[in-house]
Amino acid sequence: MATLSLHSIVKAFGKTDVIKDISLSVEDGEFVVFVGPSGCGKSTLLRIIAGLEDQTSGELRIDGQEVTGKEPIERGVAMVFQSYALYPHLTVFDNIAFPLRLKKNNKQEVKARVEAAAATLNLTDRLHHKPSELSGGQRQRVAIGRAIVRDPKLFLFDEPLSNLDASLRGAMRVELSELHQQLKTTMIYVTHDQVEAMTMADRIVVLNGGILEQFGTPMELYHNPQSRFVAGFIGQPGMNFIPATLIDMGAEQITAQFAGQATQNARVDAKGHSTGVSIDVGIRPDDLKLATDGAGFAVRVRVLERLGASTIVYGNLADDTPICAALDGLVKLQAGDQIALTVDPDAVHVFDTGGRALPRLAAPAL
Amino acid sequence: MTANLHPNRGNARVTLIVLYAVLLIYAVVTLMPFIWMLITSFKEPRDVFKLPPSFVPKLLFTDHPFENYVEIWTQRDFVIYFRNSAFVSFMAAVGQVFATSLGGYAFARLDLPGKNWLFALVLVTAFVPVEVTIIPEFLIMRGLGWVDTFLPLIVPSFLVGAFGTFMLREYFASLPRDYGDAAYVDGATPFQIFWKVYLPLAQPALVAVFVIAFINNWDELLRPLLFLNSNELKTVPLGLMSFVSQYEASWTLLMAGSVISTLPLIIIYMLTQKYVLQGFVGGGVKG
Repeated sequence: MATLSLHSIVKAFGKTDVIKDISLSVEDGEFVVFVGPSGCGKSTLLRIIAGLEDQTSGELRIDGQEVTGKEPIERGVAMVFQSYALYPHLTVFDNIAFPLRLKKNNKQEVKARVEAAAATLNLTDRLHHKPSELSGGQRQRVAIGRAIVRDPKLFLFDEPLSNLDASLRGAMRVELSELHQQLKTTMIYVTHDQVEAMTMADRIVVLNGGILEQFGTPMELYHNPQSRFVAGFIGQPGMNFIPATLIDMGAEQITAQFAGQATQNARVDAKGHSTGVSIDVGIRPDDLKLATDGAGFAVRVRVLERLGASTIVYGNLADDTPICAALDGLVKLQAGDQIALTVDPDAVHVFDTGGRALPRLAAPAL
Repeated sequence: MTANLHPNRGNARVTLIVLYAVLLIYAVVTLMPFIWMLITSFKEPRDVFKLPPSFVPKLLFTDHPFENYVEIWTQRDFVIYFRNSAFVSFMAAVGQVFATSLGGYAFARLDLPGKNWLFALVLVTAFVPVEVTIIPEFLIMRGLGWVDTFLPLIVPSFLVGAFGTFMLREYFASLPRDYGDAAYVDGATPFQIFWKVYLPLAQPALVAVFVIAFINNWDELLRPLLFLNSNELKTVPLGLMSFVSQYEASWTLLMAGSVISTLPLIIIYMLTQKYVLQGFVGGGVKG
């Protein structure tokens, strides 16, 4: 187990900065997920932590020790790769034993530790198979086995589930969470899938274009996103963003007017802003309800996705702005219907023209 | 109805027939010298240039059909030449695998300043005609006191090989970089990454380099001619030369010797064909 801290980490390839001044601290035993779109620098940051890349500047500490320039083995890290990186010419046993044999552990110890790891990962009956004879999930577990057999201070996972199909991914998410509870080792996990991030992480680092957008618990990111980017990235289906104008500012709430003249109240602190400025109103699809009393804003239904427990409604506002709502599964609607949707002002997010969130006055207690 | 569903089936059949016809012609042209060599090896000397030529050698229907083979094997030191060739070719091929796997890996995977220039330089050596380098090479070998030993035929193969380096560089480069990264994170040194991870995965390309080097050295005439004087050190090509002199040639013995000298190459290629093809195609490692 170990703590990890990054101080002003910068990584440049030629003249292009791919990591821009990132600082963060990971507590002992935490499961932290780096999430962001392709090219945001999350894998590069992980490789810097692993010692596979050197940062251009900044400090990297594991357990308080500066590890810049040190070999991965000296840092006490183990890494699971997106491709699994299982050696095809070796059996499962030999793959898991590989790091132990490099350390010249004696045969009995190697055998005992490999068998213990295999038992933990339910691989005992696959030990003498080659990787090509295993399913995707089993290969994934072998890769994890090769990491845990070393008993590292820090586990690094680089998109380990992205090559699995959806159902297996779900099962492996649960297995990895259980593994973390069992081992209680600090884990850093990279993914572009916000569902993986939300379901597994103690805390999430959201990266965008090499910049740390926000670092917090899944619920903090969901309920109090600090930027339009984080708000849009976290949550499924994604948050709706409706261009609007700030037309009224009260002490408790503001009023925004959409391009189609409809208005919407929001409980946010607009200190420092003035009426007449452009804003984006953010509404999560789950927070939208069918209006029953003639209130709300008009929406023309375009497509319905019935998922059973909920129905996802894709439609357009009067000014053609697209909007998505997650309504009750049994809602009686069809494409082409005109409906009115409403949202509690407490649940509305507002973002300024720079994409920064205005503080919410009625966010749920976390 | 079927014709409508597959309008190109007729054209495809014609294409296939033409393709097979062309391949057949090519096969006949390529194989004819070998077949003629085999037929001549079973002839008596007086029948070699007889017109019209005979495709069924008379010797086959006597009580001593392998007379030519028996003669070169028992009376002409061919066993010694054969053994020398096998030793020199095997050692030189091992040397090529050793040198070019190290070179190819370094050029493909290690971060070395100016490595692309160095690689270009190695490739350029493949375009220098042997006639240009053979005299300095001879002077070096004579200076080292290696003339009339196998060393000039073996040692250079342990040092460099442009074709093998090129081939193995491409092969190593085609193997996933994650293998090396994973081994490095697990504590492997650069040499351990090469030795325990990448080298076993490059087996097809290594076999291909070995086979090509073995064939080249087996067929080599110029260097053995230049460096070897003693009869007990002669290789098969030098032995074959002894059947041809300024005024006469023992064509039937030459052809029998040629058949024997060709057999190991055919056997080696047949045994390793799968690997050689994989080696040329590249590192499509699964798993």
